[in-house]
Amino acid sequence: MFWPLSRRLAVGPAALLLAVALTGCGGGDDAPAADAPTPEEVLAQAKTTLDETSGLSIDLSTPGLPDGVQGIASATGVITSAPAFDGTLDVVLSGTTFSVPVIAVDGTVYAQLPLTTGWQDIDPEDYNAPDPAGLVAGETGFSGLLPATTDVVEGESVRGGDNNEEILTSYTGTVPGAAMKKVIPSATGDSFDATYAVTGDGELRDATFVGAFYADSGEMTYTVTFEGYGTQREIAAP
Amino acid sequence: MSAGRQARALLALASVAVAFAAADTYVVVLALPDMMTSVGIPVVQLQRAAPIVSGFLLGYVAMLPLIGRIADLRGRVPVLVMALVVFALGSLVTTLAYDMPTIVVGRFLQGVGGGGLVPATLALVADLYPRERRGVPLGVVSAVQELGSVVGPLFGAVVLSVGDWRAIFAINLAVGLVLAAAISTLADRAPARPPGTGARAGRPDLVGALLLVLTLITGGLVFVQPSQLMQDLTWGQLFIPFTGDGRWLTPLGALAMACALLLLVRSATARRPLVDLRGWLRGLLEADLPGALLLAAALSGVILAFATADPQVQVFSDQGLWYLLGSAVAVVLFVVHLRRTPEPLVPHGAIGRTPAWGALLVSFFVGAALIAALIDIPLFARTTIYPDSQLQAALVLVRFLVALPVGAVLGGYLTRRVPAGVVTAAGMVLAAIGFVLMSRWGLTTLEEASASIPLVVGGLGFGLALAPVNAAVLASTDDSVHGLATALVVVSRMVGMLVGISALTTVGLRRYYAEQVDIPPAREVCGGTTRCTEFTVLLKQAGIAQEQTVFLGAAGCALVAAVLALVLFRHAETRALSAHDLLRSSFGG
Repeated sequence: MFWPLSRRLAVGPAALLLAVALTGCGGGDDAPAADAPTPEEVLAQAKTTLDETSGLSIDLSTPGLPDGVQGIASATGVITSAPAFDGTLDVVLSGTTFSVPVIAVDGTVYAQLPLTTGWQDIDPEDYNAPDPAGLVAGETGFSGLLPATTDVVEGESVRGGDNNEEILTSYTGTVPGAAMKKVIPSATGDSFDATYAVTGDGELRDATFVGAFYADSGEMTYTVTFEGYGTQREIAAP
Repeated sequence: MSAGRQARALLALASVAVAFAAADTYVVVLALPDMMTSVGIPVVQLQRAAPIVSGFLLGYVAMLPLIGRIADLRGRVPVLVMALVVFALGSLVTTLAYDMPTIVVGRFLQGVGGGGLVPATLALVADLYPRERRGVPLGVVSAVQELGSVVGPLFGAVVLSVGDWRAIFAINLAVGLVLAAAISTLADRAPARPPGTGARAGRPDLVGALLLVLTLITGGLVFVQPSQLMQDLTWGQLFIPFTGDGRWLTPLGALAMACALLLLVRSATARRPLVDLRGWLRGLLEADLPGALLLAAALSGVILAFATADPQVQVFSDQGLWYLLGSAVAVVLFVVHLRRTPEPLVPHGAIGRTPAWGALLVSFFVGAALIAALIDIPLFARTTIYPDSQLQAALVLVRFLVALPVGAVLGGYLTRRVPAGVVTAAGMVLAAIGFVLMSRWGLTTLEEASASIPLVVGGLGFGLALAPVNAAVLASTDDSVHGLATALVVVSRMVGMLVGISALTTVGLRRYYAEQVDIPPAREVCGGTTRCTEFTVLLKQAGIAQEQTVFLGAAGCALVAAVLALVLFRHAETRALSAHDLLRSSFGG
């Protein structure tokens, strides 16, 4: 509401900066063409792109775990098509957040536990956590949720992505609990509200899921960001 | 309202402000884990979060030498109002902070404001009361300052039980502004204006006000990045960086910085500026700004050196050694600067006698040990038995804080009969015993009643040492520098806190890593699976190990203080001083 006002008042250098910024991009005309793909087709395309990429950076986070829940507060790292993962998981155990460096290769998950210096192999299921290497593609990946999403509705064009430079199209829908359980094993909800943001090139940029991810707890939100499609990385066991 | 009642009301408001600012030093201790999570620092890397506390202390300490003189040059009320405005600005930055540097900048500004309040309020007392009647009001000001540090953790806990850590600073912002408005309103109605606040006729500076509003709005948007605006196809472009990434090299960031710059230019050039920038700058320069900057540089070098450490590898990173070197250069320049100044902060020879400078040294180590108690006791309570109840965790610290004034009174009376060095040493040995006991606390110790023993013993010990240290200073300095000397004791204690919080966590963790035996693999502990109760307990024990090592380090600092006091206070003739004087000055700020 104060923006038009401030723009009129912004003098000299400020106006110049704005002009430079605004001429940089063409603006957001998104009149649907006659042969525009249906939302389902867009998501199917996004799934293929996710499944086929050589690697990408993933960032999963939540604004907050429900009180008393033991689970994943965040996960960041690189996932390759090997599949392999190299990054960090923030795990909440008994009210304390532990930041755990994790490398997952060939179905084995190695973790460097807090205040220790060595690596050890961990069964992620014991910690209510998925194998992070499998989080992108295949049966246990977020890509599997895209075709499983029902009642998909195309939403507005929004700005987002790295440095806020991209124009994304948002889609909302519902993910059945059974599909979510394959990705996040601890998920207990019957269904999850999903919001996807897809780039013009058919890359899924981010996905937000709302629902019950842990037993005996209320609804919570996980947001997953996928950046740097096509990353090439050799990830080896530590 | 009569002039006398008005003056007392002004002093009361200033005292509330002082208490509030003092509370702010420790208000964060319970919120630290949440704040660390917000900016992505794992709880086990406490050394990286230490600047959240030490940043405030840095601002507080660096300003103290300046403000006394500015209050003389520009008048008490403008300094009080300005200090509160800076405090409010710091609170605003902290409440909106999005990463570690912004939190620390916010906390530093809070400290600058908080530090400015104390000397201005003390000067106000000197204005309002004749010398012989200053004792009580000075005592009240000092008492509310100490009260603030007791109430601080509790206040933080109460806010945290209904909101998150940002709410604490939002409240600070509101209180700071309300107090600033109240004080300036009250002073405006005063018949006799203090010097430097000559009536300003005519309209206030509208252009300046507009620029201020624009700066706040654009700057606020850069901090908050509201998603509705970012996602908008047109307005969202304001958030795209020109180069690289980051929030400030964007059109919006540049706009905010341009507005701030224009505001500065306007304030420096306008006939009736919103903020009399030139006047303040002149005042700052007359009050030895270079000296304060050198002191701040020296202290911030120490903070940075420890904060950038990776204790898993070594105590100092390579970069940390450069920070320390910079710090050392700043200290040398500071000393040279003090020697060259015609009217130095500390007159030559003022603290030349052994017990006098010895007291500063002892205070330094007392502060280093004390901060470990104030930070790590509530932290320990939160990480072990009260993960979800900040109030309960705060109440654990209260057991320590309640014993402190009891010890202080006791120390005051003992100092008349027993040499100061012995009383100080006894207090610090008690504190060390308390810390050693705390370092043996386990995951459930705090549930037991016996956990109160080290808390009470430690609090009593710190209390005991307050009066004899001041007595040593008072007995070995001239009457004319008594005020300055006791102030230096407090500053020295705060510098000790600042270095202590930085060094103890880093050095403690380093020692832990150097000596620890790794936790055995989960499969070994649990017999096949990789998660079981035994293993979780092992993890939690590793989690509290850093606090245990910090307690041990604090015990070491307390013992160093005890030995130093015994040796350095040998020739302090302290038994002639009255207990009343000692107690009054032992809380002096």
